This record gives sequence, structure tokens and C-alpha cells, in this order.
Amino acid sequence: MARDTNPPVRKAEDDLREIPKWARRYAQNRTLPVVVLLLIFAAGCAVLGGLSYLSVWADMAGQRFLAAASMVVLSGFAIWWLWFCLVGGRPIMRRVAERSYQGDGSVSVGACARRTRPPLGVFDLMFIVLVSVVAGLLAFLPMSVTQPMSALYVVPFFCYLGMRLRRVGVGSPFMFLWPALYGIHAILDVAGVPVRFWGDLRALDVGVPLVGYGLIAALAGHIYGRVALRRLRMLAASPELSDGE
Amino acid sequence: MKRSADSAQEADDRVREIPKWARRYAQNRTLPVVAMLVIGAAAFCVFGGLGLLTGWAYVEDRRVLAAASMLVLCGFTVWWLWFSFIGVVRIMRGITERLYQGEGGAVAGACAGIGEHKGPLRSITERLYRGEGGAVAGACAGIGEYKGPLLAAFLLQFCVLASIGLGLLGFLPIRYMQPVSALYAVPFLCYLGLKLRPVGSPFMFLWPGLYAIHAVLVVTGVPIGMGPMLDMVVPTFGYGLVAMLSGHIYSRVALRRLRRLAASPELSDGG
Repeated sequence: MARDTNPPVRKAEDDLREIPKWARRYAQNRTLPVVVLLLIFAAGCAVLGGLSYLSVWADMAGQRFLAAASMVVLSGFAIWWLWFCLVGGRPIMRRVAERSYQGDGSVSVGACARRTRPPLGVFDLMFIVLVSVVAGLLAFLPMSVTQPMSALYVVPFFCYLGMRLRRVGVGSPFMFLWPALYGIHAILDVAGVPVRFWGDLRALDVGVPLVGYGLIAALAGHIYGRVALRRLRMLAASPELSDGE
Repeated sequence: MKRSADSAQEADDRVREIPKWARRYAQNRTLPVVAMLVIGAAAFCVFGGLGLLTGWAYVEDRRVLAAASMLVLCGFTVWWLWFSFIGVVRIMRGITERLYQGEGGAVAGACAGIGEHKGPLRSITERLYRGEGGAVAGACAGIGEYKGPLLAAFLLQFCVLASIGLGLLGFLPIRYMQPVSALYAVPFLCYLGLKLRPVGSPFMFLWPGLYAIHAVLVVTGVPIGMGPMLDMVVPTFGYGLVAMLSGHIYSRVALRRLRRLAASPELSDGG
């Protein structure tokens, strides 16, 4: 069929073709739940770290009651964390996602993801994380190389995860910013650029880049999602399409 | 005439006995729990052994051995996670198929209320008893209610973590760890037994019973200590095994009785 040469009709046709493209872009970039999850993860790590530190400090300072109390609170929080990861987190995150986008309505991209087992890559990552933590504790790995060493497995894992999500049609392309920034941070660290924490804050060498770059990537995706939504609304409200109806 | 009335009465009694023994047999199919306990005990030994080896090698400055055992320990930890969440069904199926391969296949009865979800224990049960067909012990609609047991399991984990933490800080002497653990393990096991009561073996109550008696004996000073590591492991897994094996033996008795009842001439004549 020949393409319509009438400019308003042609514009309406182009607009129509643009709608699914921008709808997909919008749907892929609804990354606010990732932001919330990262914040919860950062808060959880801070609480676990703080309580452990308090327990050990109180024990060493001879404040036995405080040590016992913080140990009990630490145990309670660890179990709550376990519950959140295995049982309670999913419905909470679903509610967060629903509330975050309740004004925008619902959208789905590609085939509906069915519930699957965790990929084998997750267990590989767990093994490497465990090995590097224990190797650090046994002083096989100096603290100064923790972040660059972690980049060797974090970057491939996040790339793998991103591609896996892309294959089923979900996942923002902006999430690839995460491994990219983490990798750049590692290169800068190895090259001697002062991007490292010092003194008592050395423990943040991995945590801050991990959560920070994740937040940057997810927020970039969210902003792009807003842009896509605005474009979508503009296309839907264009006079050419309205006339067509 | 009187003799035939007596024999009819006897057949009636035997028919009435069948569901009773069928229920007893179904309740005491405890072999999957035995298998789980043995695997749990073996894993505990591997964890303990590798942890001890890594620590010893590190203190003795054998760095290559420390690094190697640390790598194996990390690998085993991740394998254990994989096994707990994914592999348990597959591996247990392979083991039990070999164990019971001579008994042929049979379809196990579905338990109403469990719904679509088929947990590892149920799959293992089906495989272990495939040669004997299916058995449903009473109504098990309550099994669909996972909230209570789940909450109890998390509460138990909290108590375990807190007692280990307090033990490490020196608040709990190591020789009283078993009696202290009995304070939460006994109520948890009793609760679990009561919750599973329509389908679970009554012999399961032997587990908390023996565990509590062990704790009382330790507190009263009876010398049954086996060293800091074994003081917890042996009562936990040992009494569990005693309870579950008792249940299994009773199920064999019940099955034999059931087969005898089904094959009795009175019933055959009636049939």
C-alpha cells in the first residue's frame, strides 16, 4: 500500500507508530522500586554494621549489659532481615511499586515473566563474595584492593543480570550504567586516583560505590521513564490522532 | 447359623480395623525426615570440620592449606544454599529411587488443602513410599496455613542466633548451652508436632521429650557431656533420629497388620 502523501495523515501515522516504542521505553524504565530496594539494602547494612560494631565495642569496654542488649537486638534484626529477604520483601516491594506508579496506571512489556528458580549465576556470585570476604579476613587480600577485586565479579554479574532481564523484555538499559560506573571506579582506584575511604571508613569502600552507582543508574532510568511518559501523553493527545478518531 | 453370625461379626470388626491401621501407617511414614536429619548432621560435620581446619591452618601459619580449606568451605556453603533451595528434591529423588527401586511404582494420593505447591518433603515422601502407594492420614487442610509455623521457625532462628551470640560474649557457659536451647527447642518441637498432628507421627513427640530429659540431666549434674561441639549436635540429631526411626518401625508394624487384615479369609469371603 502506498504511503499517504497528505502531511497531517502521515504525521498521524508516524505518531501512531511512535506510541508502542515510547510505551515500551516507559515500561522498561519504571525503576523506582529498585531505588527503594537499594535504600532499604543500604539501611539494612548500616543497621547490621552499627549493631555489630556496638556489640563488640561494648564487650571490649566491659559494658556487659549493653553488649548483651545489642547482641539480642542484632539477632532480632538479622532474623527480620532474613524474613524480609525470603518472605516479606516481595509483597512489600509490590506495594511500593503500585504506590509509586498508582497515578500512571499499569503497563506490561513483552512476555509476562513467570516465577523461575534463581539463576546459577547468583550462586556463583555468592561463592566469589564469600571467598573474597574470608580471604580479606584471613589477610590474603589487602583491604586496599577490595573494591577493584570485587569489580572483577560484580561487573560481569550485573552485565549478565542486565542482559538476562533485557532478554525477557524488562529491565532498563540505564541499569548498565551500574556496572560501568563501578568498573570505572575500580580502574580509577587502581590508577591511584583518591576515590578510596580512609581510616575507620574503609569498610565503605565497596558499599558506597555499590549502592551509590546503583542509585544513579536507577534514578537515571526513572527520569528517562518520566520523559517517555510525557512524550507518550503528548503523542496520545496530538490533534492529528484526535482527528483520526 | 451361630457360627456364620460370629464370622460375619469378625469380618465387620476387621473392616473397622482397616482405616485405623491405615491412618497409623500413614502417620508414621517418617523415613524422609530420617533422610533429612542424616543429611543435616553430615553437613554440620563438614561445616565444623572445614571451619576447624581453616582456623587451625591459619593459626599454624600454613597459608596454602588455610587458603585451600577456606575455598572448599566457601564452595560447600554455597552448595548447601543451592541444595536447600533447589537441589534437595532432585538429589533426594535419586537417592530414594535407588533405595526403593525393587518395590515398583505407585501413585501417591494427593493431600487436599496443600494446593498446587509441592514442597521438597512431600516429593521425598512420595518417592520413598512409592512402592506402597498413597496414604492420606486424616484431614490435612490445615497444612495450607503456613503463617504460624513460619513465624515459629523465624522465632526459633532468633533464639538460636541470640543464644550463640550471648555464648560468644561469655554470657552463657558452654556446658549450659543444651539446657538453654531446650527452653526454646522443646516448645518449638511440641508446637510443630501439634500443628502436624492430623498427619504427623505421634512418635515425633519423643524428640522434644528426650531433648528435655537430656537438659534436666545436664542441669542436675549427671555426667553426660560429650564436649562443647557434640553436646548440642548429638541430642538434636540423635533424639530426632530415635523418634523418627521409632515412627518408621511402627509404620512397618502397621503395614504388616494392614496387609494381614486385607488378606484375611473373612474379608476375602465377604468380597
